Amino acid sequence: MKRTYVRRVGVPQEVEVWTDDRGLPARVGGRPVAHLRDEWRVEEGWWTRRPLRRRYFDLVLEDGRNTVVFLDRQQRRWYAQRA
Amino acid sequence: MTYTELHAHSCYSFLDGASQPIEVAERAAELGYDAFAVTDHDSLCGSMEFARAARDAGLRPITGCELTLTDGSHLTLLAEDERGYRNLCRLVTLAHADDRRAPAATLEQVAAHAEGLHCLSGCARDGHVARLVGEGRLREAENAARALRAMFGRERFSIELQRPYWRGDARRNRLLAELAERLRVELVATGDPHAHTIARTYLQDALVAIRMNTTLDACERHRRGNHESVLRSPAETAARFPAWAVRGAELVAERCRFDLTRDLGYRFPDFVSETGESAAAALHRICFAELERRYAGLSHIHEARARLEQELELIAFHGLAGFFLLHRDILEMAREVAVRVRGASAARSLLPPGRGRGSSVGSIVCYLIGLSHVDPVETRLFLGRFLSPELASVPDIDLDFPRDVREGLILEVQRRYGDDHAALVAAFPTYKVRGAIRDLGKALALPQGEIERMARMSDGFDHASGDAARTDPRLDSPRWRAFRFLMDEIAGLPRHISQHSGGMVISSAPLVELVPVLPAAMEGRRICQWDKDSCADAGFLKIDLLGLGMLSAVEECVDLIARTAAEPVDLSRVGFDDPEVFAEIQAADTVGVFQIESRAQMQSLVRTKPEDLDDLTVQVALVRPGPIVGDAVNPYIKRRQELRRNPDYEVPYDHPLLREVLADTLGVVVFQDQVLEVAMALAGFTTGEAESLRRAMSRKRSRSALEGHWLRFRDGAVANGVPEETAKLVFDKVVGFSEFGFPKSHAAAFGILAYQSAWLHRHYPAEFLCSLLNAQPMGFYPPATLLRDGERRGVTMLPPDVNESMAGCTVEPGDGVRIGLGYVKGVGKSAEDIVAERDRGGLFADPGDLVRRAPVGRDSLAQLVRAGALDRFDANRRRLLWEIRLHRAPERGQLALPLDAAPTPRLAGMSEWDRMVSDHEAMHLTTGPHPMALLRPSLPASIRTSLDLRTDRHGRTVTVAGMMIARQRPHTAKGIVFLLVEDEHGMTNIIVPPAIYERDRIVVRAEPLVQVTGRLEKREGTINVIAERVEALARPGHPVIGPARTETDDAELRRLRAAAPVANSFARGRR
Repeated sequence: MKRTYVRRVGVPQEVEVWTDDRGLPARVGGRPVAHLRDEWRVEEGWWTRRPLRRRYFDLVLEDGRNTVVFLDRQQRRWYAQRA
Repeated sequence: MTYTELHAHSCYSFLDGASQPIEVAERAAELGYDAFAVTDHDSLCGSMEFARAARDAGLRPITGCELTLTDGSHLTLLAEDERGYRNLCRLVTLAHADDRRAPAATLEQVAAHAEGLHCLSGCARDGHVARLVGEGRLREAENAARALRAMFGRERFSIELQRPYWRGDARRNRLLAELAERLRVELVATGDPHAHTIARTYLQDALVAIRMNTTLDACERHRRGNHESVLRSPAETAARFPAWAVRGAELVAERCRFDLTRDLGYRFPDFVSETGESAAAALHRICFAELERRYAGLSHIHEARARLEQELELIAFHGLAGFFLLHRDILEMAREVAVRVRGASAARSLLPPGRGRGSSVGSIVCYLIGLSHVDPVETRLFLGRFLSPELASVPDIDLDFPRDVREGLILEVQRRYGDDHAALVAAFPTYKVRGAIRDLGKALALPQGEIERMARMSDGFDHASGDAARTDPRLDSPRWRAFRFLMDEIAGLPRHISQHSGGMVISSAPLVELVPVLPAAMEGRRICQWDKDSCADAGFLKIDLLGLGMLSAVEECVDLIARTAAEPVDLSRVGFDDPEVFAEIQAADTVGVFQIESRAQMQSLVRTKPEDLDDLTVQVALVRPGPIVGDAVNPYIKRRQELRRNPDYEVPYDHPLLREVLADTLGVVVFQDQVLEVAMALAGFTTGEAESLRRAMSRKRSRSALEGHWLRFRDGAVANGVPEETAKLVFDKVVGFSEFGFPKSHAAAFGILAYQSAWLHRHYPAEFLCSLLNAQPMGFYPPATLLRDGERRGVTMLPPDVNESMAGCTVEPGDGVRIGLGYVKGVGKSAEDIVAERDRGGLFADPGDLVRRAPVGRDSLAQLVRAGALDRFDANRRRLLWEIRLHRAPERGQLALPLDAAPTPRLAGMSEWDRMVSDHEAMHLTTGPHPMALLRPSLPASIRTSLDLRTDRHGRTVTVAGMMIARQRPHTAKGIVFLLVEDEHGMTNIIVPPAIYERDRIVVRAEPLVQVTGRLEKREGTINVIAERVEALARPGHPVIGPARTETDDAELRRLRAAAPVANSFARGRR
């Protein structure tokens, strides 16, 4: 019998991001950022054990790829998420 | 680059804004703004408060609001000029006309009121244009923007740009900028702050949850998702926008020159005379005619004439003659309304329709035109606070009416002046600790049981949550930490708009062009969006029409006496010198008497022993937070006792300059007007300066202004040769007094009513009790206690009876008072239906007859049975309950079908205890024996009664038991709790020291049946038990409640606990 299971999709992956002096992403995973399309911020669940504080960027990289990265402001780490 | 904020919310967006206008104004000034607009949702409630605070902080206020349209979208509207402001008020009024809870204006209405307004296209999420852009409906968005441009013109319409840091901001703002360019209108940046500090942005999240009536977890969609809605500096905000949008905001700000503190343009209602007589001349004529009539033959007529001349001069100087004539008109209206509601022939028609209270009672003009019933010349009342050459605002006139007259009068004023010219003043109830605990607890999804327990146990914001959390590690979770944090932030925020207790504003220009007016919750009434402070700042003519339960009671009492007694009573002819009445007052036998019935008053009465109306006037004002904090009470009592012992006693004064102004009150400040007099006598203040000091003390908004007054006070006092220490001492007493005191005139008016009620209490106990029971809720005591007092005075209490009772309580021959059917909980309006059916078809023959004829639901009938109203048919209420369920009321148009029901099973009989508990369950009172009388035989003999305490020796340890009547923890008493516990003989005062309270807190706060052990303290006629232990009344030791019922005694006590009378509990009161 075939087993079924649940898999989470779109789990953010940690990624290396270099920022410029304004704190904006300049390189993602070594690739230069060509264009900053949008920036938004999320502060959620501050009343729970797992508060969320994120700064999101919607980017176009120089190779033409589209990506969304966020800075987890609690952990001070960057993650990439599918655009 | 400069930046002006044109879109900001305060707490007057009600649960969508977390800061007070004054906080916003002060923070904005601090951050370096030059001009600033507060734009609350469909509300100008905070506009005056903001404008004043902004001016004080050196900020230019811009007035506007965020208007909701019928499609749910928003427009930001700003008043460019006076005409714009008037249109804004009209628009907000129109938006509320259909549903005050869901305001919405149509675009046609906006178009008709566009003149003078500047329109911004709306916020990022719900803006009229931005919403369509966000949804990708670009063509519709452009059409909507073009329509607005057509309404307002290119100059007065701009595209609004916001940067809330949401996903999609960049695209939306790019499209909006393109739109602005295509339409050739300004692009305007706005910050849309909802909180003046970061801390409050968290509260803002919680407020959204409260508004949506859900939890924080469940309202993510409605919250802002981040904390970018905090108020930022101009530079920081400007940096988020393109430069031309920031410049756009500047340009719009330059156009909005309307200043609410300057340009309101309010005028008093005009006095119109048919003969062309001026208002001043008319007032002069009316007053002098009345003076000659009232003072004819009195020795002080010359003094009265001089006083009248002086007052009329002041009135003419301030141009207030029309103001007084208007009040006279309203009193005339009140007379007509009174005739209508009282019936012309009733005995109460002899009474004036209303009475003045407050500082107006000090004015002879008010006396002569019927606003007050106290002769200010004879009673030496001070005019200062009411009318002075430096009068800063319109004088206050408060009028008390019986409730029914007041209801009619409010509608009559509204009708006479028109909906557009008169409205009630608003009040903004702020978060109280219990409400805050419940709302925040729910928003944070904390366990409901815990939250409810905490709400019941709370002592105020200071102690609300900290104590419990320190001792209970479970409470140290993020949610509980958030809860404690938010509790600190929410204190003092308004929760919703409601109506002030009776203030009305009247205007000759349409009021709806000065302030938005909304339909009130009560049919036919309308309220304006400003509270009394804002109305006063606007210079509005405000009249206070207050409903006073005691006036209703006194009126009914006079009526009852006329019906039953041989001779009707004319209260205006009753002298104020009845020794029997004063004997009772001095013995603190004052349950039910106006103002001097409370626990604290009683404790004071036996020591001050008032002997005449002047003493009563002081007494009424003495037991108030002002004199208590101002350290006046004990010195007054001591000096009074000293004077009684030694008539040559020299009253000490803080300084000889105070001798004259404080002579009546033995050297201490008891009345509010003495604050003024002290400042004038000691520090040489002018009346206007003193008045400004009083206002600084009384208004929450201007407490910081006190410092300036102190410097002026000190310099003035030193110049008068008063040492600085003495000046400081006196100033501190005066400021301690603050706003919590009565003016003498107010106390005089209340003193009269206190005497009159004491007189009725003494001479007509049955009628007085009956009318008090019918005027509930009012006063300090629950009805059950009033009833015990009546019984001690020889009144026979009669239970409700379907064949005898009316809907309300009635007096029966032989000093009987019959409980009305309406007193039974859950019967309500059905009581009148039962009485009507009885009048129509005769007495009810049996329970079946009642069920068939009376149009009453089965639950109401069951309640009547439980209350004993059917005892005449069968003393066993259990059997009656069984029976009434067998008789089925006929359906409409169907004949009753008599059925031979199955025989009633044998049901246990009712013991006295059963009846008493049943009475309490149905009415919270009983006409039978006191519960303690029934419990007494089963209590240990060591438990003393309140009667025993009178003969017990001072200092011994006693245990008393009884029902809780009142619990008080005045903030002036340093944590001490006062309890009143009642047994079958009367009440006992219990004093619970803080340490004992902390230990026995749950019992003290919530237990209706208690047993207290402590030290008996007898001093100067007062009897107190200083508690050492407060416990729930224990399970009785012997089986006496009913035969063989020992095993259920605990259950029986629980039933009684659940049904005990509602105590006057802490700040909640009974009113």
